[in-house]
Amino acid sequence: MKYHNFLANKFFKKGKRGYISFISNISVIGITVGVAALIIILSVMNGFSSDLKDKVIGTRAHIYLSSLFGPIHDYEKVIDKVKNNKEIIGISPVSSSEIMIKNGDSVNGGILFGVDRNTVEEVIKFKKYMVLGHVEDLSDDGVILGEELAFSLNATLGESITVISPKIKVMPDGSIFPKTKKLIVEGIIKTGMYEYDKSFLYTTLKNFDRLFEQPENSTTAIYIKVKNVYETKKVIKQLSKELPKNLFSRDWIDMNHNLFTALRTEKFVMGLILFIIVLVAGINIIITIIMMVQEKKKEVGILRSLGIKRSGIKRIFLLQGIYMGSIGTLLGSVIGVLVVAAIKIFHVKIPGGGSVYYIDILPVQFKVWPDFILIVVGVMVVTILFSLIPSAWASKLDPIKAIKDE
Amino acid sequence: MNEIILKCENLHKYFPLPAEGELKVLRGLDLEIVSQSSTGIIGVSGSGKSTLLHILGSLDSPTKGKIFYEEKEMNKMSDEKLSNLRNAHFGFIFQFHYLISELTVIENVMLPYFIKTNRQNNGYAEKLLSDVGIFERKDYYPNQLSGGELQRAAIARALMNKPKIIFADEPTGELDNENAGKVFELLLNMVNKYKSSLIFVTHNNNFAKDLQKTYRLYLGQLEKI
Repeated sequence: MKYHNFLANKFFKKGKRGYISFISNISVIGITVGVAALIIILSVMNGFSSDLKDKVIGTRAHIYLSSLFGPIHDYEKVIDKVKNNKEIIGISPVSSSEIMIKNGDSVNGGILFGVDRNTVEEVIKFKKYMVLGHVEDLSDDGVILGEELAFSLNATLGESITVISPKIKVMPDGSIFPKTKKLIVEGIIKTGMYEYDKSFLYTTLKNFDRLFEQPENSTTAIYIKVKNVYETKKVIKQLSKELPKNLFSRDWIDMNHNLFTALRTEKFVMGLILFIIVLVAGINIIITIIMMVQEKKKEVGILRSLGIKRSGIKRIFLLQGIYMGSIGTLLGSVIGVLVVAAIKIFHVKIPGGGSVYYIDILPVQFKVWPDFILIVVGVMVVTILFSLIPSAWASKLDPIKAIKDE
Repeated sequence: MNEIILKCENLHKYFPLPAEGELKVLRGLDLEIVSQSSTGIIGVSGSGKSTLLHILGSLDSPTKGKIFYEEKEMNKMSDEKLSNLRNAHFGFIFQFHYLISELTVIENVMLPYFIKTNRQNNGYAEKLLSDVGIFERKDYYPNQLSGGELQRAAIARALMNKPKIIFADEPTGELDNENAGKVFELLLNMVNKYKSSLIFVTHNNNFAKDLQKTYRLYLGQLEKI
């Protein structure tokens, strides 16, 4: 052990009395609270973000391939062209259009998806989110409703609802009517995303084509799932080389850009606000060390007379700050991680539950990198920087003045 | 043959006064200290004895004049070199014991060696504590020792790195006559035993007779007695 570590340990353990000890404890508690709060809050925000991402990715495609002019014709040829790409793990045609839905007196707007029963599971996790029925059993006259939409239409399994397409039908007498079709509710899906569950309904691709008068083997989009959801741009680049120019691709990041940007901004701002707790604790560290130096002036003089260099004195007091910061960071990390683990293990329910937040259980995701490491490094950097100020002052004390002042 | 290890030439020390002007404490004094010698500096309180000792020990700097340690000019040394010099070649004993209250007696004694090498040397520290007669107090903290014992521990600490010069600034000033005599005698014995030089500052003329050379500091100048 080096002499400055030895002396710093001794001063830290035994050298703080009365008010200094109190201020020192406040500094450590401040850092503990700051670190724990940062870990917990950022983990919860990660949890929300991850939960949202799972739902977005689970119910929508990673890459949307669509045509600049109307639907994609002969989509099977297009699928054949791209399905051998090693990054692609799922591909399926999915048509979609806005419609009106009517059941009795209840009328709602919604988005109707036409899906291929055999391949849709590759791109939309029906099995995971279906609460009633199975997508494989969906008939050409059937429909799967989002749970909220079903509630709002007051529609249950086996009941028929009317979908009203924007396509118009001209009657022999010249009058115009929107095209309508009765569909039987064959399934209910609950993704946990209010927007989706309130407005999405699914039928077969064949049924969709009939309703929207699309030619056979056409689709408004091809949904693609890839191995790595963060490498969609790379896949889009590869696809653009293989596909005709009238087809273009967008990924889930572009489609939900505003949502995830807002989440990231919120997390950053929350982190920043919580970091202020750490800064306040850091200021307490400055005060503690200044008071320690004031109390240890005599010792500084003695140590200088014994031959300790200015740098040695600086290091002794810097270590006091580092000890306080380290203890606070360690305690805060342990508390933060334990709380995050407890939230995860005990499935902590959100007050108000799903009716308010559309999520019942508080989601948490602890990230070692970047969150935890940045918190620890950030707090230690603040501690060191704040400790340097009084330590440098201590090192400049005149030894004789320091002894005489006592 | 004993050689000059510490020398000062035309040493001045002035302190600025609160209103104006300056207090001239040392006024161009010269001094030579030879190895393995004992030198006393006596004078009334406020005459500048401690100031002189602190300057000679590199704890303070002169306003004017030169100080040489083993022919090297101390005024030109960096703070780091002066720190090394104090640690390896000088030992200090002050009027108050100035032991570190958070350390045990043996840790205090060992400290100069620890600073020098980053290693602990219990054996030599224990030997010094035996020599000063407080071995059995080695694991005590300073607040558990008497005034005489504290100064004995301070003497042991000053000798830890086998210094060439011991600077003693009225080390008996806080002790009763009986203890003062004992500590002074012990200090002389230890300095002789470990072949150091002693510069002993005191206002007690009785100690002067036992020192090889004695000077009186008067009006900023040294007079040999």
